[in-house]
Amino acid sequence: MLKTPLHEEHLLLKARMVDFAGYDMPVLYSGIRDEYTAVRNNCGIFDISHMAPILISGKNPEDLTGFLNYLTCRDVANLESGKVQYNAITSEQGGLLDDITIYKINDLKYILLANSSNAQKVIRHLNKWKEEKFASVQIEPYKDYVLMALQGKNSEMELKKILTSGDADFQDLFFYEFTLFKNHNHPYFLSRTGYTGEDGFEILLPEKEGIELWKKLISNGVAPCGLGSRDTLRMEVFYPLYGNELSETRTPIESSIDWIVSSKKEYLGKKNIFHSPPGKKVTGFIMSAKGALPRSHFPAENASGEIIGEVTSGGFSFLWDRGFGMAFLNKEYLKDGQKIYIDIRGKKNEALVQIKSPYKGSIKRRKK
Amino acid sequence: MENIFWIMSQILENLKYTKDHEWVKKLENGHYQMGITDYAQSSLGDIVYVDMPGEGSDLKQGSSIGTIESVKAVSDIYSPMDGSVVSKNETIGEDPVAVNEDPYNTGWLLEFQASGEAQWNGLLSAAQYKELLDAH
Repeated sequence: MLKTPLHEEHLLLKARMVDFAGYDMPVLYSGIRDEYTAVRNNCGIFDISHMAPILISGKNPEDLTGFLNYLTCRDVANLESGKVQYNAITSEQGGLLDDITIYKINDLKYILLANSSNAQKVIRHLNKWKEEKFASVQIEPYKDYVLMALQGKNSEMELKKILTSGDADFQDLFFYEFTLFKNHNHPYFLSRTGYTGEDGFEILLPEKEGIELWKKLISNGVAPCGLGSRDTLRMEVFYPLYGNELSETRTPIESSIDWIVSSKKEYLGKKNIFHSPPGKKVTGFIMSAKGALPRSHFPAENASGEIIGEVTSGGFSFLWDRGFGMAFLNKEYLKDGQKIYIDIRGKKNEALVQIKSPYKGSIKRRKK
Repeated sequence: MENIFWIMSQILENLKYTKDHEWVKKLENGHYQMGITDYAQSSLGDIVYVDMPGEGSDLKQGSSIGTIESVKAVSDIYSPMDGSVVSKNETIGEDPVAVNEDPYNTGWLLEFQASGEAQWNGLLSAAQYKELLDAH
C-alpha cells in the first residue's frame, strides 16, 4: 500500500488507519467527534498528501489557457495570478474525470491539484491531450512533497506561531487566494482554501519541511484529524465528493456544480453537458427527526412510495444532532423544505430537502 | 501496531460474552442484562443512534434484534439468548454516548427474561472472550 511522508507520524499518534485510494491513511486519531469539534471550534490538521499536485507550464500564455480551457468546464482565462479556482476536468461524454483546484502562479505557470483516486487517470488524460493538440505544454507531477490542510477559525493564529513573512506572506490572503513559499526554486504554496466550511490553509511543501511543520503544529497542540471527521465536515457544508456526488457518469450540472459550468467557451464534453436538461440533480437534505442514519445508495422516495432518487452521501451531523446527507433526486423535488423519505433498511424516514447548507462557518471571503 | 485496541479492551470477569461482542450479566432478580463490549464500542467509534426492541419483544438467540450506528458504520445487535424484553435503556435512545463511555454499566442496552438457563451456561466466559479477541 502507498504511504504519505507523514505515515510514520500517524502511527506515532496511534491513528486508526484505513485503505483510501490505495494509501494507508488515518481515519481517526482520538475520535471523529473530538476531531470534528476541534475543527469547528478551534482548528485541526489533516494529511492530504495523497492528493496530487501537478505543475503545468508553457512558453506562451495562450497555449496554456487554451490547454486548460479545453479540458475543464470553467473559464480559466480570467483567473488572476495568486488566485485559486475550483474547476473540473470533463470527459468527452460530459461526465467528470475529476474535480480539481487550479492555482495560477503567473501567465506561464499553474498548479493543478487532483484527487488521489483520480490522479493517474488525470495525468494520462492531460498527457494524451498534450500529445494530440497542445505539444508546447509541460506536465510535471510533484514528487516527494507533503500536502496538509490546517482547518478551523484559529488556523491563522497557529500558523503565525510558526511561520513568518520571511517564509510566506499569508496573513493578507482571503478564501481561494494563495502565496508561494519564499526561498524555493520550485513553487510550493500556502493557500487559504479547504474542504470543511471553515477558515484555514492548505500547505504544499517539500517532504522534509512538510514533516517539520506538521510536527511543530502537533507539538503546539493542534489536533491531528482523519478522513472520518473530514467527511462529516465537508458533508455539513454540502461540498461534493468525487465517487459520491461526482462521477464520470454524471454531468457537472447533474452534480449541482452548475456555477462552474461555462456555456460560452468550447471544451471537451460541452455538447453532452448541454444536450438535454438534467432529469435529476444533487441536493442536500436533513432528517426531520433523530433516528437511523441515511447512508450512500439508500433509496429516496416520495410520499406515495415511488423511488425518486438515492442518497449519495449520508451520516450523522453533530451540528443538527441527526442524520443528514446529499442525494441525487428527480429535479422537481429540489425545493427547500420539500418532504422526501429515505428508505433505511426497509423503514421510511422523513427528511427535508435543503438546497444550500444553513451552516455559516468561519471562511474569510474577500469583499468585492 | 494494529492490535492496540484489542489489547486495551476492557473485559469484566463476572460477565458472559458472545462471539458477536455482546456481554450478558445475570441480575439478582433472575433477569439478564445485555450490552455491547468495550471492544465493540471502540471498533464502532462515536455511537450516535441505537435502535432496540421494546418491552415484551421476543428474543431469539443469534438473531438480529436491533442496530447500533456510529458516525462511520452500522452494526447489528444480536440476541445472546432466547427470551423476552423486560425493559430497554431509555437514556441511550436520547443520547447514546454512554455506550462509548461506559459500555458495561450506564451503557447497558436491554434487560430481558430468558426462556431457560442452558444458553447462559453456553455463553463465552471472560477468558474465552479474551482468547477470541487475541485471535483477531
